[in-house]
Amino acid sequence: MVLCSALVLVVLSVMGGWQRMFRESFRALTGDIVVSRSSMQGFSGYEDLAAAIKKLPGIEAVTPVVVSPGLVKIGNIEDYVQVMGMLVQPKPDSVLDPIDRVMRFRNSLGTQFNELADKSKAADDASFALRPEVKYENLVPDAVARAARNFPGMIVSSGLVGITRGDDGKMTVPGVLYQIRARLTVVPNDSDRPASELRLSPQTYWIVDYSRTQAPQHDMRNVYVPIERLQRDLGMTASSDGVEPARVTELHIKTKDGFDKNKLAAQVQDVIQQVTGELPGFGSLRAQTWEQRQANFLTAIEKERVLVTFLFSLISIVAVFLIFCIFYMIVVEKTRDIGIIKSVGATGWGVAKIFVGYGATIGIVGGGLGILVGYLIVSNINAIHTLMGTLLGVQIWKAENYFFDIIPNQINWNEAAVIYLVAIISATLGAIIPAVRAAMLNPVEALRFE
Amino acid sequence: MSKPLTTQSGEWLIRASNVARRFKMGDSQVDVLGGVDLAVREGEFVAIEGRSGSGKSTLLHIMGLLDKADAGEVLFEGNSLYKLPAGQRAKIRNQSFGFVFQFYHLLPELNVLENTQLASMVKFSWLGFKSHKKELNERAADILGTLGMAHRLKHRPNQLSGGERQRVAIARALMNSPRVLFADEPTGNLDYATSQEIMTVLNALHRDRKQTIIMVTHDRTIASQADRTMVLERGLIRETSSK
Repeated sequence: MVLCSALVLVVLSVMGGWQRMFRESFRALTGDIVVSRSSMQGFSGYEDLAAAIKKLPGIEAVTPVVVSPGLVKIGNIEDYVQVMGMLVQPKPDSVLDPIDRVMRFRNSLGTQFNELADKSKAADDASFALRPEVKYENLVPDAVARAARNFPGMIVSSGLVGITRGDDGKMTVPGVLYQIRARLTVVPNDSDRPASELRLSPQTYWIVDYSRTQAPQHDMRNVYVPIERLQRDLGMTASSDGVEPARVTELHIKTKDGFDKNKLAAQVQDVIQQVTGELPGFGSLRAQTWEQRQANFLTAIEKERVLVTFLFSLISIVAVFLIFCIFYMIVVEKTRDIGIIKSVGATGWGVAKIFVGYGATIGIVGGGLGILVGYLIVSNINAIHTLMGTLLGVQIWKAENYFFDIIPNQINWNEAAVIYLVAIISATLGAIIPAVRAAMLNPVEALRFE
Repeated sequence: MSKPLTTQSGEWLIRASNVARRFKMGDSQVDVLGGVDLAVREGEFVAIEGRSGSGKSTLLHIMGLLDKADAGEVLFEGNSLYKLPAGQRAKIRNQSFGFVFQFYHLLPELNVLENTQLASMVKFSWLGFKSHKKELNERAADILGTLGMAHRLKHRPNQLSGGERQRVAIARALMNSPRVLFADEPTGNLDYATSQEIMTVLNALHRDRKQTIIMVTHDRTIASQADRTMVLERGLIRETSSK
C-alpha cells in the first residue's frame, strides 16, 4: 500500500507537473487570445481592430506580432528559423501595448531577466537594445559593446545557439554570444511579384540575449527582433503614399482575470466581423484562445497523463487483490481462532469489524506513509535522478525527449488527498469479502477446523 | 426476560426440550440428536456421558448457543434462546455462558492473562476494555491464582503443559462470571493424573461457588464425579443416575 500510494503520487506529480510546465512554457510566447490569419500576408488595419477589441470588457492589452520564416547566420551556424517581430516600445499615442503587457516573454530571457548582473535592476520589459543595467561590458570588451549599440538587437532561442543546462543546474552560455553579429534574411511578403524580382536583403542584428521558454517548438528555431524592423524587411510597413497599409500576422490579447477566455474569444470574433466585414471561413481572421491554438499538443499530453495514471492505477487494483488474498488467507488460517472468539460471545459483525478495521488501518497507515514517501521522492526527484545517473549510469529523464531539463517536482495536494482516500477505500474494500466470510463462519465448524 | 420456569424439582436454569439435530453426510442424513430433553437446575453439576458420535458434544453446543437445533427448543431462564436475535444470543454466550473445550482453544498470540480476558475484550469496546484494564487484570489474575496459575501469567499457551492450558481455558470461561459452565470433554486430552486435577478444579467450582456445570465426557469415572449423570446413546438420553 505504501509503494502503491507513493508510486501513483510520483507518477501523477511528475506527469501533472510536466503538463503544467508545458502550459506555462506555452504561455511565455502567447497572449490569452490570438487573432491570426492562416497566411503569411498577415492583415492590415490591425490598429483599428486592436482599438475595437480593447473596448470589450475583459480585455486588458493587445500587442501585434509578425511571424515569418527566415534564414539566419550566427557565427558558423546557418539555419532556417522562425522570426518573430515584437513590439517593445509603442508610440506614445498608439493604442497598441508592448509585449510585456500581454505575454511572459521577458521571463524567458536569460540575461535581461534571469541573470542580471545587478539583481536590483531587474528588467521590467524585454528589450532589443543593449540595456544599460545589463553589464554586457562584463561579458564582452567595451569596444564590442559600443559597436553593438549601432545595430538592432536580436534575441535568439537557446537551442539555436546550443545553450543547455549543465549538471550543476546552471545554463552554459557561450562566452562569445554577445560578440556575434547575426545575419537574418527574410522573404518579403509579396506574392504578386515574380520570384526573380523578390528583393532579399540580409540585415545585421546584434545578439542581446537568449530566450528559453522551455516550449520545444519555440526554443529550437526562434529568433526575436523588433517588429518595426521585421515589418520593413518583409515589406509589411505602410507605403509612403498611404495606399498600402501596414500589416502584421497576429494580434495577441491579454484578458483580465475572472473573465472566461472562450467567451471573450467569441466576442473578439464578432468584433473582427464588425471591423473588417470578414465572415468566419477559410483564410479569414480567427480569434482563438491559446489553448485552442495548442490543442493538439495539450490534448496529447493530457491523454498521455491519463494513460499513465490509468496504468499505474492498475497497480492499485493489484494491491486491492493482494489485500483480499492476504486477508482471505488470514481468515482461513485463523478459522479456529475466529471460532474461539465467537464462542466467547463475539457477534458476526464484531468479527467482521476486526478485519475491516485492520484493512482500513492498513489503508490509513500505508496510504499516509505512501504519501510521505511519494512527497520525499517528488521533492528530491532531480537529486535522486542525478544520483542514479552517477551511481548506475541511468538517465531516465532526457531533456531532448521531455523538453524540460528538470523533472517536475511539485506535489498537487488535492491529488495527494484523493490518492490517500482511494488507498483507504481500496484497503477496506480488499478486506470486506474476507471479513464477511469470517463473520459468517459457524463457530462449531470453525472450532473443528484443522 | 419472562418469569423463570419452575418444576416440582425446583427452578430450571437451562432446559433442552425435544432437541433434534440432523447432519448431512454425503447423500445421506444422520440423526445425531433425536429429541433430547434435559433440564439443569441452578448450581447443579450434570455430566452427559456417551461414546464418540453419540451426539453429546452436539447437544452441548446447541445448549450453549454455538449451534442450532433442527427441532425443539432451549430455554434459559425461561426464554427460548433461539427465538432471540443473534446479538442477544451472542450477549448471553458472552456474559452468561462459559466454555471449556477438549483442545483448550487458547489464542496462541496472547499470553495467559490476555487469553483469560478474551471474553472481557469482547464484552467491552476497545476503549471500554482499556478503561477497565486494571480491574480486569486484577480479576483475571485472581481467577488464575485460584486455579494455581499465578506464576504463568505472561506465558504463552505453547509454553504450558496440557493441564495448565486447560486451567487457563477454565479461567477464561469464568472471567465473566457465567451462569452456566459448559465443559466439552475437559479431560479428553489429558493423562489420568492431570484429568483428576482438572476435575478437582471443576468440583471445587461447583462446591465452593455453586457454579452450574454441564459437562460431556466419554469417561464414566469422570462423569461419576457429577451430581447427576445422563447417558446419551444414539441421540437419546437412555439412563439417568444421581449421587
